[in-house]
Amino acid sequence: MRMNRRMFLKALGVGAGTLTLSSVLGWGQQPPVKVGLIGPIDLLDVGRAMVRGALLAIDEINKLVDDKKLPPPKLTMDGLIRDDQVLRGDVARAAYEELVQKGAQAIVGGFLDEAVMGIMPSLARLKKPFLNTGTSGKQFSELVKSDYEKYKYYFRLMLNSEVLAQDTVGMVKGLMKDELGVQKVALVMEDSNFGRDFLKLLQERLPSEAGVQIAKAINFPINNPDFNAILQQIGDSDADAIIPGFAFNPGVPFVGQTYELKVDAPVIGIITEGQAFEYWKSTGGRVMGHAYADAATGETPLTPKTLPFFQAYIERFGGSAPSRPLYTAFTTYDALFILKEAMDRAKSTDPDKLVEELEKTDYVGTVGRVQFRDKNDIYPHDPKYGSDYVVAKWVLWTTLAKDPLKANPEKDPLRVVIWPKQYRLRADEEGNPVSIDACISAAATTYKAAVEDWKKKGKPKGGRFEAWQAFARSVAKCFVG
Amino acid sequence: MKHGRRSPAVWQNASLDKPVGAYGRMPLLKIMDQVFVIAERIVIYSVLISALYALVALGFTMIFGVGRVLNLAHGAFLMVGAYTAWFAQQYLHWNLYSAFALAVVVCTLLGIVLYHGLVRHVQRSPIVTLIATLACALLIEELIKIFFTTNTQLLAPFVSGSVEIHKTTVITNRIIAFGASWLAILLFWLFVHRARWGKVILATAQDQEGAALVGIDVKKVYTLTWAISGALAGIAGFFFASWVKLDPFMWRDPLIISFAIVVVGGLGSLKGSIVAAYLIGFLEVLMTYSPSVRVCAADFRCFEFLGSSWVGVSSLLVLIAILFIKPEGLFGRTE
Amino acid sequence: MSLRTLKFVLLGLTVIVAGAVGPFLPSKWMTTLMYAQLFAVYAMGWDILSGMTGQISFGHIFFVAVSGYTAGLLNLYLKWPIWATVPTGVSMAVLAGLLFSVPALRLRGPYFSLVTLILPLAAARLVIILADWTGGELGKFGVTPLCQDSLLNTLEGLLSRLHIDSFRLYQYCNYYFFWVLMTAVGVGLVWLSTSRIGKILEAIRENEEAVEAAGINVAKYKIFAFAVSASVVGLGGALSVHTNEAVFFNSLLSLTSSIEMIVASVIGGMGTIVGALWGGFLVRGGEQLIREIAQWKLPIGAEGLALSFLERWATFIFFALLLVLLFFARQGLLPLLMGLFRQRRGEIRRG
Repeated sequence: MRMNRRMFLKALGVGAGTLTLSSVLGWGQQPPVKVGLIGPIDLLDVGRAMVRGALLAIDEINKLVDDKKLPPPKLTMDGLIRDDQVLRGDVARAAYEELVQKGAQAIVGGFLDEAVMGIMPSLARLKKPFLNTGTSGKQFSELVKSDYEKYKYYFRLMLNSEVLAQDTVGMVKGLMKDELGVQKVALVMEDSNFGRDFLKLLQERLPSEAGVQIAKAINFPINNPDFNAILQQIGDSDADAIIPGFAFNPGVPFVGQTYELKVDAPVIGIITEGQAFEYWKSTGGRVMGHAYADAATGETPLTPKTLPFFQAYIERFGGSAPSRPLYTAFTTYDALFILKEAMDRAKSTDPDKLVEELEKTDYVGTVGRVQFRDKNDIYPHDPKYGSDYVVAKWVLWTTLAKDPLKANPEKDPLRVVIWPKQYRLRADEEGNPVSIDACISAAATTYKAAVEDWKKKGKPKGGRFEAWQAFARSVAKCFVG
Repeated sequence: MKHGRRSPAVWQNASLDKPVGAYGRMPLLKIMDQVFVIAERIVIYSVLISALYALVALGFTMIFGVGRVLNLAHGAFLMVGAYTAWFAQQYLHWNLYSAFALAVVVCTLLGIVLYHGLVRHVQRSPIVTLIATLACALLIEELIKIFFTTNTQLLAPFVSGSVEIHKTTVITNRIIAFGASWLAILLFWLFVHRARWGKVILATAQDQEGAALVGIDVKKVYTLTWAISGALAGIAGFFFASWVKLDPFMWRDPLIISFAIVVVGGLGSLKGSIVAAYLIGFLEVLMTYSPSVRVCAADFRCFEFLGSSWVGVSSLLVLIAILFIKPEGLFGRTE
Repeated sequence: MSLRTLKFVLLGLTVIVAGAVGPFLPSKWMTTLMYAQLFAVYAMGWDILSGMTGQISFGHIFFVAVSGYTAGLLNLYLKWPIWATVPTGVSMAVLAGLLFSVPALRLRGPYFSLVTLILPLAAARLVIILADWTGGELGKFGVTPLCQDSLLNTLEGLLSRLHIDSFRLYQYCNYYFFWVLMTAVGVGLVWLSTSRIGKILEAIRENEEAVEAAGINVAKYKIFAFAVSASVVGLGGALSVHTNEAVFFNSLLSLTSSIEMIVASVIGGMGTIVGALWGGFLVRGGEQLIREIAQWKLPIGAEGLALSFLERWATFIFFALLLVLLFFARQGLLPLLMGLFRQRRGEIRRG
C-alpha cells in the first residue's frame, strides 16, 4: 500500500529532478543546457532552415566553449526538436509542454501565428522562455503588454507587421518615390490577418507619410489561384508599382502571371515564400526583377557575422533545400547566441532571472543589432527597430544571365539588397563590405529616364516592364563588380 | 482606423479605394463604356476558366454515372498528372509535349490500378469506397510531400506571353487550355455516342443489371471508364497546373469543384456538368469584379459585403440554394 | 448478454482504462489523450447521425464552429461566464442543426454529403470576412480557461498531501473534465443507440421506405438525430474553446477534423458509438504514436540507429494502415471483435 503510494507520487513528480541539478553542481559544471525548438520542420523549408540555423549555432557555441572563448555550460538540442504541423495550435502546445517536461530551459522557433498562439497558455504556466524567430503578428507583444508578469517569458527576433508596414512606408518614400519616381501604387494583399493589417496600415500611411497615391487596393482570398483579372485591373489603374503582401499564399501563380502579362509596374513588397533561394526555380526564373522584404540575404555582409554564417551554412547544408539560409535560419541562429549570453550573465536557467537578462540583451547578430524593447514600450519584447538596430532589407531578385527563364537556378540567381541605402553592399575577396550605393543610384536614374521616355511614347505595352528588367540587370552588375 | 471614423456604415466600391461618388462625376458615356469593358472581361474570363472546370469534373462525373462510385481520389489523379509532367520536364528534360503525353499515360494506368487494386474490392459499400479513395488521395499527397517537398511550383506553359482580345488581356496559355478542354470534351462526347464501346458504357450507366443480362462484361466496362477518367484527369491536371500552380495540396480544390459541379449539374449528366461548370466559373469571376460594401460597427470593426473576398463563398451558397430547390441537381434524374 | 449490455461493458472498460491511466501518463501524452477524448466525443456525435442513419456528413465540424465561436465570442466580448456560454453555444449548434435538417431531409447520398461539405467551407469564409470580430484564421485569445485559477487553488488545497506541481494539476483538471464529458456522452449515446429510437434510426439506414410504410414518421426521427448529434458535437466545441483559452480557426473549422471523424467512426465500426470512441483514440493517439516511434533509436551501433527516416513517412504509414484496415475489417473494429467473440463462443459451445 505504502509502496504503491510512493510509486504514484513518483509518477507525478517527474519534473522535480531537473530543477535541483544546477544548485548541486553549480553553474559552469552543469551538463549541457537543453534548448528546444518548435517549428514546421516536416513540411516547410522555413522550418528546416530554422533547425539548420539552430544546429549551426549550437555547434559553434559548443566549440567556443571547448576553446574557452565562452564560459560553460554547453547547449544541446538532442531530441528536443518538435514539429508543429504548420498551424496546429494544439500540436504546438503539446510540443511545448513535452519539451519543458524533457528539461528544456528555453524554446526557440515558431513560424505561423496560429501555432505560437497555441503555446501561449502553457507558456504562462510553465514559464520557460520562448524566443519567437518566425512570426510577425503583433498580438503577442500586446499580450506581454497586457499582462507582463504572466507573459514576460515571450520574446521575438522578428519585426511585427506594424513595424514592417512602417518600414514599407519608408521604402516607398525613399526608394520608390525619390529614386524611381513612383507616384501611384497598387496594393495586392491576401485576405489573411497579415494581409489585412498590412493593407489597412498602408492605406492610412502611404498618402500622408510617403506622398504616394494608392491607385488600386485589392484584397484577395488566400487560396485565390487566378491573378489575370486582378493584374488587368491594376494595369487599368495606371499604377507605377505594385506592393504585394503575401504570407500564406505562396505567390508563385502571381509571379508567373505578372511575367506572362508583362505587367508595366515593378513588384516590390512582401512575399514570404519569395525569400527562399529555391523560389527562382519554383517560378522558373519569372521572379526576375521582383524585390521582397527579408531579414538578410547572406551574400550581403550586413554585419561581420552575416557572411561567415552564410558560408558555414552553405558548406554544411548547401546540398539540399533550403540550400541558402532563409530568414528563420538567421533569426534562430541569433536567438541561440542571445540565449547563451543571457544564461551566462544570469549564471542560471531560472526563468525569471533569464528574462531579466534577456531584457538587457545587446547583441550584434547576423541581421543587425538586437535589443529588446522594454515593458513600457507599445511592443514589449519585440526587437528595437531603426537603422542602428534591426530593419527590413528589401532584396531584389536578379541575374546576369541574358534570359532569366534559361538561367541555371542553382548558380545564376542573385539576391541584392536595394534598400535601405546603408546595406547596399557587396563583399570583396576578404569578405569586407564595399558600398554599391552609387552604382545602384545610377541604375535608378537610368530607369527613371527610361520611364519618362516610355510615357512620352504613349506607354506601349511591356515598355516599363523591360525598363525594370534592365534596372535589375544593372543592379546585378553592380553586385558582381 | 481611418475607415472606422467614417462609420457606422461606409459605402465603397470594389477596390476599397475610391468612394462610389467618384463615378458620379463622370459623364454617362464613360460610365457605360467602363461597364461594357468590365462585362466583356467577366464574360471572357469566365468562359475560359469554366471550360477548364468542366474538364476537371468530366472524369469524376463519368465514374459516378457508370459505377455509382464517388472517386475522392479524382483530385489526386490531376495532381499526379501535373507532377508527372513537371517531373519529366524539370528532371528528365523532356520537351513539354512528351511530358504531357507521359502525364496522360501515367494517369490512365493509375486509374486502372486504383480500380483493380482497391475500388473493385470495396465497391459494394459506398462509405468504405469514399474513405478508401480519400485515403488514396492522402497517400499520394504524402508521397509527393516526401519526394518533391511542399514548395509551390509552376509548370511552364506551352506558349509564353499574352494576347489582347478587344480590350482584355489574356494569358495565351489559357486560350490553349480552353481549346484543349473543349476538344477533350467533344472527343469524349463523340466517343460515348458514336463508338461501340462508348455506347456500351452508356448502356451500363443506364442499367447495370440490364447490361449484364445482355452479355456486357461489366468489369471490362468499369476498367475502361476508370482508364478514360484517368486520362481526362491527366489532361486536366496538366492544364490546371500550368494555369494555377503545383503543390501537394492542389488536389483539394479540383475535387471540391468537381464535386460541386457534378452534384449541381445532376449526377452522371454530362450536359448538366458543363452547365454547372459555367455557372460556377461565372459566379467566381463575377465576384472578383463585384462592388463591395464596407459595413462598420460603432467600435470601428468592419467587414466587407460582397467583393473579391467573397470569391468562393458566394458560389458555394448559390450551390446550396440550388440543391435545396432542386435536390436532384439541374439535369439529374430522380432515382 | 444482450447487445446493449455488451456495449455498456465495453464502454465501461474503455472509460475505466482511460481514467485509470491518467496519473501515469507523461505530460505530452496527457495533452494528446485529452484532445483524443474531445475528438472521441466528436466522433460519437458524428456516429449517432451519420453512422446510424447512413447519411454521410462531411462537415460536422460546422457544428463545432457554431458552438465554439458562439461560446468564445460571448465570453470575449460580453464577458459571459462559462456556465452561460457553453449552454448558449450548444443551443446555437442545435438550432443550426434543426434549421439545416429540415431542408437536408430532402437530400440523399452524395447530395447530402456535398451540402455538408460546403457548410464549413462557407462558414470558414464568413469567419474570415468577419475577422475584425472573430480574429480570422488567427483566432482570438483570452477566453476564460475551463480550469480557472480559483478552481485549481481549491484542488491544490484538497490534494495538498500529494504534492502535485501546479501545471500537472492543471493538466489533470483538463484531462478529467474531458474524461467526464466523454463518459457522459458515451453512456447517453450508447443508451440512445440501443433504445427503440436507435433501432428505428438503424432501420432507416437499411430501408427508409419500409420504415415509412410501417407508419413511422421518418422525418421526425432524422431531425431528432440531427439535434442530438449537433448538441453533442457542439458541447465538445464549446468546451474546447475554454480549454484552448482561445477561439482557434484551425481547431474549430478544419475540414481535416471533419474527415477524421468519419475515419474514426469507420475504423471503429459505424453506428456502434463505442467503436467511434475507440476510433477517436486510434486516430489521435495513432498519429502521435507513429510520430513517437519515428524518434526511437534501435540499439544498433555506437549511437543507436535512429529511425528518423520514418519521420517523413509517418503520415504515409498512418494512411497505409488505414487502407489495410479498411480492406480487412470493412465493418470496423468493434463488429470484427464481436464477430470473433461470437465465433469463439460458438466453438466453446460446440467443444
